[in-house]
Amino acid sequence: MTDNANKSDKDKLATVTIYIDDKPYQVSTENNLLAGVLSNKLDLPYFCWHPSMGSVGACRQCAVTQYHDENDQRGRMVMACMTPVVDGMRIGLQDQASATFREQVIAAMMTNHPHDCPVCAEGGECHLQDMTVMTGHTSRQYPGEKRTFTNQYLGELVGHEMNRCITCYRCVRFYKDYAGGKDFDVYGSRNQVYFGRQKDGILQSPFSGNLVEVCPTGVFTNKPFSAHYTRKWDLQSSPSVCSFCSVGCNTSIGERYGSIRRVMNRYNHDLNGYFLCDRGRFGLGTVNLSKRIKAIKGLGDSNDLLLNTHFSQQNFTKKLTPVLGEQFIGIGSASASFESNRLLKYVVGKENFSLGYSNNEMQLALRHKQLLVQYPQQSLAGMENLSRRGHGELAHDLVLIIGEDLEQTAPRLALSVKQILNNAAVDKADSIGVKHWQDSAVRTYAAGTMTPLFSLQAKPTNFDELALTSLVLSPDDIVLQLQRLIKLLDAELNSAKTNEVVFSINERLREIEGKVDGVHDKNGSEKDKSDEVNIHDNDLALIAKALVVAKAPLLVTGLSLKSAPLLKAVDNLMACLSQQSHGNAPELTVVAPQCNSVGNLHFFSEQMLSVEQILKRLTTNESLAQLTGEEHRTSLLVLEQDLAQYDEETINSLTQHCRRMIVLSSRGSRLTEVADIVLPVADSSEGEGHYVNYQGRLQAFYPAYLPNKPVLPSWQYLQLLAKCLFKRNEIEFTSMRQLHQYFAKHGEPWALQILTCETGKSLPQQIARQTHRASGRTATMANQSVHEQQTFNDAQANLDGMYRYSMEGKSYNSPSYTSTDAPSLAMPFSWSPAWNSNQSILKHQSQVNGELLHRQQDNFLHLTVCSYFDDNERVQQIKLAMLWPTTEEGKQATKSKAADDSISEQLVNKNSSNEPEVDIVSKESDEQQSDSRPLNSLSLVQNLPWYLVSEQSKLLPEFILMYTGNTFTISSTVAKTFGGLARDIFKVNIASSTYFGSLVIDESLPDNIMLVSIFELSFDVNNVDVALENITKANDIEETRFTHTEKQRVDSANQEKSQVLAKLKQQDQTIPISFYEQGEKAKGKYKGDHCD
Amino acid sequence: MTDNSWLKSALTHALTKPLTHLVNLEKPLNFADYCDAGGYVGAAKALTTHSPQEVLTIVNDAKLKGRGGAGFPTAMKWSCVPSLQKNSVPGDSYLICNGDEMEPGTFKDRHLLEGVPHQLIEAMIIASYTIGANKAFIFLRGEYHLAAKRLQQAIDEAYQNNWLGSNIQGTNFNVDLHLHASAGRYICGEETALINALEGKRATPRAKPPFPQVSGLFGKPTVVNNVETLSNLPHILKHGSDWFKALSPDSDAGTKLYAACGQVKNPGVWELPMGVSIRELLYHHAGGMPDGVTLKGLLPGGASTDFLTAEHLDTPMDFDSIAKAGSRLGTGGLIVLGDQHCPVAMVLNLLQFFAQESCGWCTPCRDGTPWAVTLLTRIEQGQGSEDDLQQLQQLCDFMWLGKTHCALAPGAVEPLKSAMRYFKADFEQHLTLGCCPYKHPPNADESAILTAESVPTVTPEELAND
Repeated sequence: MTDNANKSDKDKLATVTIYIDDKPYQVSTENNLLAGVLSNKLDLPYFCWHPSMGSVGACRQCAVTQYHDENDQRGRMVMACMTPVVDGMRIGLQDQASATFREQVIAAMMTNHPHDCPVCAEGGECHLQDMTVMTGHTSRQYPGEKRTFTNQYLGELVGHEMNRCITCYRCVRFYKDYAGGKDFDVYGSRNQVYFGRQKDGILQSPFSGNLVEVCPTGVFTNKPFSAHYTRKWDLQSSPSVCSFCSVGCNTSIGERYGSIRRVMNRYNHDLNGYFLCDRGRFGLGTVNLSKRIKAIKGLGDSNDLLLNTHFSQQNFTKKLTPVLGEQFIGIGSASASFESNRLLKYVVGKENFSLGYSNNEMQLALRHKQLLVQYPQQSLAGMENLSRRGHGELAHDLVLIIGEDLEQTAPRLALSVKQILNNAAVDKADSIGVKHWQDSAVRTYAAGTMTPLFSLQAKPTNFDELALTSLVLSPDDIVLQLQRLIKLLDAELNSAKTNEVVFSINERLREIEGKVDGVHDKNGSEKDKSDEVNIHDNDLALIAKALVVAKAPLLVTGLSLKSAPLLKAVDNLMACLSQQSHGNAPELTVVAPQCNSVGNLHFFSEQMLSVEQILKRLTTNESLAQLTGEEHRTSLLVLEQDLAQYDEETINSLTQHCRRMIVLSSRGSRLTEVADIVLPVADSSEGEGHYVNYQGRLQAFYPAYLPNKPVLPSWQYLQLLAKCLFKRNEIEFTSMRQLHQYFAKHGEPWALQILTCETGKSLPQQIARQTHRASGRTATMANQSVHEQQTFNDAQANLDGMYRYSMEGKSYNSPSYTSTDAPSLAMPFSWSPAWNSNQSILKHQSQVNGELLHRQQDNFLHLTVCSYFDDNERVQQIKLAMLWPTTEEGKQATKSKAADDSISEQLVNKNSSNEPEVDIVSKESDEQQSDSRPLNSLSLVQNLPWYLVSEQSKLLPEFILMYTGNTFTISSTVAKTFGGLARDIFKVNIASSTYFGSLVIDESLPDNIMLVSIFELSFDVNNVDVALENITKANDIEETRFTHTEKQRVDSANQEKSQVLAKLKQQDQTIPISFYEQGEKAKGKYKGDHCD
Repeated sequence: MTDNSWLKSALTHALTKPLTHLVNLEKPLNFADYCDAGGYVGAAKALTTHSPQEVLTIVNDAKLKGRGGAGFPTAMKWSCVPSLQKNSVPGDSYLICNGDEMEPGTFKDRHLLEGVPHQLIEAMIIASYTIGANKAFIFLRGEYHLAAKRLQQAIDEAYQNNWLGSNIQGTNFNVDLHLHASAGRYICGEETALINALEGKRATPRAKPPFPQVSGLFGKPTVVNNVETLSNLPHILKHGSDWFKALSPDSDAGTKLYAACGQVKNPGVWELPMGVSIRELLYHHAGGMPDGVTLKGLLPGGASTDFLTAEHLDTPMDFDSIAKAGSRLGTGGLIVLGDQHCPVAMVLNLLQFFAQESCGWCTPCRDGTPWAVTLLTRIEQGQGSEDDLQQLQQLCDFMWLGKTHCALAPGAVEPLKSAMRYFKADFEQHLTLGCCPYKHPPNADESAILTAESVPTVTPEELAND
């Protein structure tokens, strides 16, 4: 009866009272008994259960005794993870029978687990260790021998030590079932169960690193971390935010002796939950590389101690004097923090500010902003429906991915979309009373039932085989097909309205299933390509039909194809879906290009300069200077920006025409090579600030350690420059907090928001970045001094900061943090008494999978489309085209024909007068050819593997070693016209540079697409046309050179890997003393301590 | 083909030994002869004169219990299939015949599979009709090559004669029957592991609920029945449920295939009324113990049942009576242990089998059974200690029902636990002597050892002694 009552009252969380060891507890019926026990912060050991992967009942560790009623003394043993919560149920945790059994389970696992904790990388944060202690298993009874396994080589990222396996099956459940990986499985039987690959080789999944966290013991280890290892308790950690894509996963960065050691997942209920992608987990290793810039360039020589080793502000300012009084254009970056960009804009003035976007990217950015303003973006948890399930809200029942390879550009989001595809299975299982947490039962009953997925992509993706329909089309064709889809949808909606058809879920599925057979037939006949449009029409009709009946469709798109028309078409599709009256609630997710792209949309205004405009301004000013003889030339101030998407020519003209180029960068790039002055800035792991994720969520990241000067966070350099170059003496921040206060005082709402969300001031004490167990503080420097090390403390910055570089400070587990009114601060690392592993997060959640107890308030950036563009579509387009005319304009104008004719006219006029470099006329003639035209150019679509998508991750040797080499992929028809065979080496001219790669032939690829995977080509170069004459077979010499380059890349990666390791190990021996020698002040203190 | 006189005499047993009266191990009846001998009458009756619901009622009235070992009422199992509950569209469920007979000491199904394959096919038509299955599978033990050959022949004949396929005998009922030869794992006898194996997945038992009747093969409602259980159906349909119950008036309904092996003069398999006493089975049908050997203990229903001893000889071999005596009827196949063989070695041999066949899913079974093997080996080799015995006791508790994912480990515990109770002295003797008393009797001379080892019957425990 209680059950029914709860069902009818879906709005509030259904909790019931159960009795654990005769004490009453409130437990949610949404999850199993184990989750209920853990949510009440009681200790019950477990292995095979995982909060987000559900139960399978393999390990038998979470056994409890269930009693029939209060008189039942004996009870029967049940596995808590497999038991639903029922009102009034009575269970025992402390009773002898279940306690003994739990200890026996550990004892049984230990029959084969080696006693290698002292040399195991998991030691000290091992869930198995914790559980062993928890059950009280202390001495070994088993007299036999242990079984042994052979380990596998799983690539450069994940280590394998199978002897430690306790056979909980979590790894394979994560890798295969949860993340959809195909190259990892379970083999063998009895007590010889083996988890690994069929044979040695690199794990292919972009989520393989999660095995390290999913494994309850040390079978899977973080290889780079193990190579330069330190115990968890010796790490100094900070709460950070991943900077490798726009999702903004929360991470915990661990540091020791001045080097970043590892990245761990930091639980965030809304975003990453328990999992990270490998780019985020391993990519940060680039901070330790030799390409890292650590000295000032262009302000005196590298031996200048006062500029480098003993960096002082005065000296720095003095050296900058020659630059004084110059005019500057500031180029910000979507990978720099929100604050740094804001400060740069403030310093140079809004009419001198750019984001390093091209004209096309500016248009794209505006479209992006408009979408964000119109359609609120869901969090990953919102998409996965974690918070909504069972609360009367609809789960997504259809997914349509448009023109974005999610696994490549936002892997963590792709993982969430994979979970959404499970919604139909969960619902189906629910109909026979199988709950969502009964993982294996859900999968069994669903028998492959999936939420319908459709995809319109410019390249084959891993989602294709999960999709009912997946079309691979050139980016332009995607736009065309979307327009057709909207028409079909309109027709479909109108007919649905008149017929008043009400579809049930079953009807819908049956219909869609019926349609699928049809689609397969069509795929078969797709080969002849004679009537391409018709073929797609059938697919589109299916999509339209499905969209009409779907109650809560999710559309996912992104900016990686660099196509503003695509975003516009998506906007139209959303508008079409939203206006219908049958209660359908479509939602849209837009993948932004970089970690702070959305943050920079905040600055978007009509004054913002594109790179083309910068060039124009530079040349105009230069000619002005030549005319008048006065110095009118403009200088460039470039913030953490490498302009990698531009060809050599653009970069050269930028450097030639500017008076001076100052680049703030943490790593070497083309720009740092040509820049006049390079200032070394902190990496995201060493800096502080906020990134704004794809939703517009402002998320703070904090440094794990302070780098040695002259490496400074970019905002600090900017404020130094502001003072001495721009004479902005009002800018005097010594901490990020003061920066926020400054902007808040000037009425900027985002800064106010940040200050309200932060509660640092109200803290009784700052939070410690080190664990209370951080060991050897006095011993680590004994080779240099036997005196107690001064706490690593950048005095001023730390006063305002919320975290201390010390073990001294508030611990996260102190009572003030477990109370409900505790201040909300991100945790540097997760730990709880008796829970040393990452599973300790349970103790910090309101309930299993719930919000963190001391969660930070959500902080969203408020975006509005700037009033200049606040017009109807046509006027807006004219304005856009006037400001930032692009080659796309021409295409669009001809394609949408009459309606936009006037615009295109104006465009041509504007262009001919203002922007002679954009050759719209020739473009038009290209596009006017019909679909059956003989090809004379191919659309270039990026096909780089997920780990190389960011410029920074391209530097990581481990990733380079995973790379299989440069390739061009084309259809067999096109290959024939070249006489190209698979594996031939080809030479392709892309944007005036020549690239080499081997040819791959893909039968299923449309003829007008060329997929490129070229290490040297920036991922930002996407969806550009490559003329056929620019594609030629390489001659013998070029072939040899190419092979050599490919080999050299691997060789130097190997070399770099070992050199970095050697260097860091060396650094471990010396770094502590260098902490003392940071500048005069620190040195003085050191002397004051009576050391000799 | 058939020797008329054989068939004639066989048919005289039609009403007393329904399951086996047509068994011909040399050359099983082909389709025509099987029909002549009264075959497919039951199926015809079911399909033409009864609704599925009526067949269910008949089987329910017959009180047929599953012969695979658990003794669960067949009709009750079927009635959980949704199509039988709600009159929904038939055809959306599966029938599987569990022919993965791998229980040590059990060979009754083989007798039927090799001897009268058409009987099983007929039975599966009836069962499929009842539960509304249009696809049926025989999951056959991989080693049963001869059975596979004969079954396939029979299936082909049944297709040719429109007893399988579509529109069977003009009744609009369709069923396709597939024979699947297993890759050979003991755990495939567990119905959900069997289903997983049939789906091409790892043969790991599934968590229950949901039960296969609700979510079975490929997530569809599925009934898994033992060969012997199914084989009763044509006869129940033909002769009625009252006849079936009357076959064994004092016990569970029907006849049962009983078998005996180990230390008996005449090992074999016999169809007898349910509830025959152990004594009658052992001394009358199996010819009793070999000369000079006295009964030490026996496993009444395959390897995964508790030992019974001489004091239980008069227990009727039916589900309840054997349970009352502290064991399980299981498959009804006796494994008899004489006083000249070491019970520790026998249990060790069994545990080695179970440890080998554990699927590796849950901890108690995966790591508990090899642990027990280690301890038993030590004891058998004379290196055991009192602690080991105690540890063994604890392991029995550790692997007991309710603590494991399926019944394999509790099944392994049954002979071990009961052996430690009934043959405690033997275990202790191993400890005190520091060796196995059966291999090295206390005052051993060469000849004594030779006698002990020259017992002609090949028994599992001897293999273990090697």
